[in-house]
Amino acid sequence: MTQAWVLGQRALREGWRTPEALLPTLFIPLFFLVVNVGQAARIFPSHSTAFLHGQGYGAFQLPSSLLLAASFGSAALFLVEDIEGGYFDKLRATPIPRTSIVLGRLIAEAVKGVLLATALVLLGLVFGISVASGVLGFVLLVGLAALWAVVFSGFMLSIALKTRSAAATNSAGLIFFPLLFLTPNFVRSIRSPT
Amino acid sequence: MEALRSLILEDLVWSKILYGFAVAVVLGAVMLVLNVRLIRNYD
Repeated sequence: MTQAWVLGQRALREGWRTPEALLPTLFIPLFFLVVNVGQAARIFPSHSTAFLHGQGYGAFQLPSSLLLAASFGSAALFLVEDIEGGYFDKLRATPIPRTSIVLGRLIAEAVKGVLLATALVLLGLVFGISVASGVLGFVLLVGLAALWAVVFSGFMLSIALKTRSAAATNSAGLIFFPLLFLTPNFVRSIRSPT
Repeated sequence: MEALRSLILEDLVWSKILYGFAVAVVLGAVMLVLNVRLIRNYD
């Protein structure tokens, strides 16, 4: 576990030193939030839309943005970079368990997921969205978003390890978009309770 | 999605929250097992 933590710290430093890879993961979900709210907020006014529970439409859209941000993890692409650059082979030659290489990446994604989700929710608070479930709800919200970041990064890492190709790994990440639009993204499903 | 949405829009609705966490934990475990298998067989 110590090795995994050390490799996780390395992955975090890697992310910190490459803000160009990190910033779009915050910007793009915010962009979708603003665009979707701009498109549909007038159709669903808060005072007459039961499923909004008195909040604005932004509160309904924020979870989509949280999941989107959590699904933009760069762990797999950094892993492909390690494979192509030969660093991965050096790691495999060291006396550390191979699983710690994967675990390190996932630990780093969990930490990044917490930071990104916190930033998005705090930005949401600035724009009038409130977390109805309180402080515990905020913690659970951030925790669940970070957990999803680990899940999706795990999926991306498996593609990276199988294909060893940056192009294939990058394309595989796009699967999130059709999945997102299969959910009740814009309006609550009529089968869901209000 | 519904778990996240319930946390923002409603008070703590544990049935939705636990369902969301259960889905994420199960999928996370599947991904972890898959990745461990892949990296152990990597050559």
